[in-house]
Amino acid sequence: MNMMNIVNQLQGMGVSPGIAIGRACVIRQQEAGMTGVALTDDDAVGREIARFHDSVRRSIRELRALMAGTEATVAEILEVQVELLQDPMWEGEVLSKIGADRKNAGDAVLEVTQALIETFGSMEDEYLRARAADIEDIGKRVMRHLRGEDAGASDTRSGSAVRGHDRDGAMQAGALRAGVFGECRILLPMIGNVQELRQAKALITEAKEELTRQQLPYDADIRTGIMIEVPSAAIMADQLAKETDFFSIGTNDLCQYTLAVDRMNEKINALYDPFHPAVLRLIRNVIEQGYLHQLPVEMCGELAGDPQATLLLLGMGLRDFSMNAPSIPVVKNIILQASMAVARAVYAKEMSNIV
Amino acid sequence: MITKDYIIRAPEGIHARPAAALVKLTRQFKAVIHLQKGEKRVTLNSLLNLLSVGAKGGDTITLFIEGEDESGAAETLDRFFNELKE
Repeated sequence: MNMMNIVNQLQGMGVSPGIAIGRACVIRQQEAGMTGVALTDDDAVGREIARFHDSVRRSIRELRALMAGTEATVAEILEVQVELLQDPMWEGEVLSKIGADRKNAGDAVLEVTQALIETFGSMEDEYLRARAADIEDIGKRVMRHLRGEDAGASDTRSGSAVRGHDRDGAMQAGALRAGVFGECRILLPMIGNVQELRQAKALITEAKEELTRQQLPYDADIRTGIMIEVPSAAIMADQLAKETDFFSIGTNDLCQYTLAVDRMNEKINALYDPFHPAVLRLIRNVIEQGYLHQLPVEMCGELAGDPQATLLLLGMGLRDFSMNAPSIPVVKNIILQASMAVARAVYAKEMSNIV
Repeated sequence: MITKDYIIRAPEGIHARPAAALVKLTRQFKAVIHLQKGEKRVTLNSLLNLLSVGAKGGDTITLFIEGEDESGAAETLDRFFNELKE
């Protein structure tokens, strides 16, 4: 028998359907949270340096306030962090990344702290190794201020805060201005309640006012929608619907947060199941509320491109499916072959599980 | 310039808390202060630098103090190292 010679077999999670043959290539991931956005001019460098200094000052003030209310032993630990925040070596390295390497303040802080954590973390001395944790702490604290977050905001939401709570409104202003050249919409991620939605909308209004002041053209009627990816948002869809222009269901995160399953963790990712009745109920609620409030509802998670879900979702009332290019022909074929009657029948059959 | 040797008597060495206190102390003075252990020499204005020296109990370190207020600085640091026992 002619055996194939398998030199090395790698296993992993599929991220798109199909088979591909090619040369293997390792993709080194950027540090978590890095944006890779480079600074284009000296003004931007000055702004980022000011933002960095401001965040350090706020961090120190925050630590001092914490110290005032704690016992001496804890205060001493915080004092170490205050001292680290004022360290000329770390400051110098961050400034050089901003000034010479043209990195934005957030990326510069992440890079410098990561390098220091590695240096300290690999030291022989156990005590010095433990300092890596202090460095990590100050890095996180400064990052939180750079992102304009309030103290105590959870790490899970920090990604959204960059987008949703961006203080200088650059992102919102960008979308508003792009609207002049063609239809453009704003999609707010990680909204979990009506208050967050209102805050985000207030920032957009601010950005509009700023653009008016600067006499720059922008799309005043830009549509603003919500990414439904947090279970609380799916449950509260009726309330959110009153204050938004459209819904986009992000099934990947919605499923992950509903089932408390991290799909990147291979030990438990078998429990990740977008067909779980709890997830389907949430999706159905969002679609129903969309109909009731005459809002467009679209889906942009992997479920939207899953041929096994097409008829069910169609029967549920979903009309906008967003997916990776390789999935389009398969899903399109299913939709073209089927009738709404068939889709509704599939949905009715599934209903017995999800009522 | 004032130069002085010290033997670290605290068993844990110059760990984070005393190191932070030391850097804070030196910031009061205009004098430039260096600390040396073996081949490694650092400026005492950086906690990260000081920690990277890894001065342990029993180690000998040398201070180099230079500037207009060097005698005041030397006195203050002298007190610090004599009191550093834990």
